[in-house]
Amino acid sequence: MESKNYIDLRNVKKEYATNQLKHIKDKKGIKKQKDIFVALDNITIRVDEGEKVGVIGLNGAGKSTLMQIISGYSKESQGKVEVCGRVNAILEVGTNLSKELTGRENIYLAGEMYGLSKEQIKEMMPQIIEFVDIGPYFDYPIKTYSSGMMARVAFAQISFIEPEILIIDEVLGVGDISFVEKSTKLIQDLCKKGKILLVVSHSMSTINQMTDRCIWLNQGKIVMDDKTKTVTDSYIKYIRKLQSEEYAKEAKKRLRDQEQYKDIVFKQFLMKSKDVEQDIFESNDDISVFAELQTRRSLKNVDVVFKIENKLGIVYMKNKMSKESKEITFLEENQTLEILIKLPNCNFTEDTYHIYCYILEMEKVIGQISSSFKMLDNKREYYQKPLILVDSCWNMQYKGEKIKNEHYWDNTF
Amino acid sequence: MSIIGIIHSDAVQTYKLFRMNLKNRYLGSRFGLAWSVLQPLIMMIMYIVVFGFIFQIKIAGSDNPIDYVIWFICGFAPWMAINEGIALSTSAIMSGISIIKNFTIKAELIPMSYAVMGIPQMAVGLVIVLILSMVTGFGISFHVVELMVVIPVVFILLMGIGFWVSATAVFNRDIAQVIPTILQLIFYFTPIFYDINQFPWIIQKLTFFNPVYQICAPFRAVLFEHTSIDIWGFLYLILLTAIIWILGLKYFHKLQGYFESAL
Repeated sequence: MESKNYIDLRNVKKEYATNQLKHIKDKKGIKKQKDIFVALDNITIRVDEGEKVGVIGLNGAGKSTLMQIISGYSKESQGKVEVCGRVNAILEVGTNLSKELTGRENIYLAGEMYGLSKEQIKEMMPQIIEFVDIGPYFDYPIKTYSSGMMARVAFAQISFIEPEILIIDEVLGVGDISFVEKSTKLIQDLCKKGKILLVVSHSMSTINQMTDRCIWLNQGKIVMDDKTKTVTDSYIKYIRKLQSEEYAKEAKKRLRDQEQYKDIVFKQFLMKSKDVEQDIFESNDDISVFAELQTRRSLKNVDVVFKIENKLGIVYMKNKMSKESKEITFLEENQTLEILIKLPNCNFTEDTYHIYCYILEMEKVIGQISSSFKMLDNKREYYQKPLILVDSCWNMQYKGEKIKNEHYWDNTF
Repeated sequence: MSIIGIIHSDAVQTYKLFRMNLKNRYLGSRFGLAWSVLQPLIMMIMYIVVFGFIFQIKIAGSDNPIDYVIWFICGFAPWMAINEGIALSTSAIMSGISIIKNFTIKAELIPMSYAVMGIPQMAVGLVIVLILSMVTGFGISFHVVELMVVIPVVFILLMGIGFWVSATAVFNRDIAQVIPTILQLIFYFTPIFYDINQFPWIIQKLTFFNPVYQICAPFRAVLFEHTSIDIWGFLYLILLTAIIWILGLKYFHKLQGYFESAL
């Protein structure tokens, strides 16, 4: 009877004891106890043949530890671990066996280590050469390579794996966009060959593409073990909530630390997407920027400027209100001006940006505030694509009444 | 993996690792693989000059310097393999950690592949002895075939010792410092470059239990004395090898799961 592959973990616990002694305060007084770090706690998982499982969680949740235990590299402290099947774990981006040998020789070596014969390796050589794509350097010693070339040769070795149970831990192809595409395809082809697949990743899109079932780990415990879409959606919500809590703290701090202009005070300056306050956005998000300021004295001919720059100082968007409509002629003292700018379907490329808001009276800056935010482009849609136009929708309220509701197109001037 | 359980594929895998280690060791240098011959050659010449000519150590009842040379190399060739094998096994896991992590390989094969790194040196020594024996008319006896049984046992013993030192060295780096010193001590306290008769009677009897002595003795018996090997000494060696291997492998397996926490 052909035995089926499976993974069975029951109540698995993994502890690391440091050599420090921890002081524990207890009813009986202060005791000294061995400082123990619990990496995994009460893990019970069953994976059967044919399943493709994703493993997600914050950094330090125990994902890699769990993979090490399943692959047999690490031993559990408590509990029962049963793994039926040969495990191939890609925990690092492969490794080059010998710096002295050439790229070609390293490939042969790696193939032999995986148990292939010289003939089998020779058959696969053409597609590997095409994958690595380093030209004549393939026959030079690896020590002459750049790190990117070394990484490619190391990565190519993955094609030799004939997996039964395949574990992939955060392996991304390094390098330019064409190589990232090639290496992603290689991993996908490999996944099709395996009978059980475990993928650890921080990229929800990867997990959704590659797996049907997903396990969410947090601080060594299983939070959720269900269908991929269900788990990833909950995880994303959780992350956003964490980020917005962080962001709210920072926003308060920013307001406290704002430069004291005597004529206006910023009461609020924050960014939102989908009603969650945060400063990390994904491409195509609808981003809103909200500023609330209070006047200290009456102001005449007020203008508002918003500017978004990337961290190198290149201006992505600069909208001056008076360019497309009139300035605000008069603002009383001690009144609140609310400004809401929407950037719908924001398609900035992946980077860190700074957003500035300037308040001008008669063309002189009388107040400003700034903040920074990050754009993530997980689907790689806008990678290296030029930004053409940014649509912004301005909405201002004064004394509780709407005084503006207009669209501006990017007019970087 | 079962206790004895070396199956054919394991042996092949170990051999592949051994070849890779050799390449890595010598490939960077200009003379490359020639060093694997030059290094033992230079060592032997150095010791022979110092002990044979400067210290004038003589073998019982012989004034012929060639006799001492042959006699010395008989003991020194296996010693080089022992020294090399144990010293390299100590750092085996540290050197091979990326292989254990990235390839599905039985971790014990790594120290095994380092324990046999002394094969080239032993081979050089034995070849020199055979050449000298033929050229000087010293002669070669047919007992040399007995070495075909002895040599595998020697390397199996070294692999067994390799399990112990490689696993321990992961958690206790001091071992890496201490081992070379211990090996030096063993070299001086075992009759390798001097005859056993230099020892007082009681020490001579105790030396029977010195495994290094029991490794060198068969080579001397076959290549120098032209007699058959001492059967009791050899049986003792086999027994020691079995015990060290079986317990060493168990020990290694027990510690294996914790390597990653120490590295």
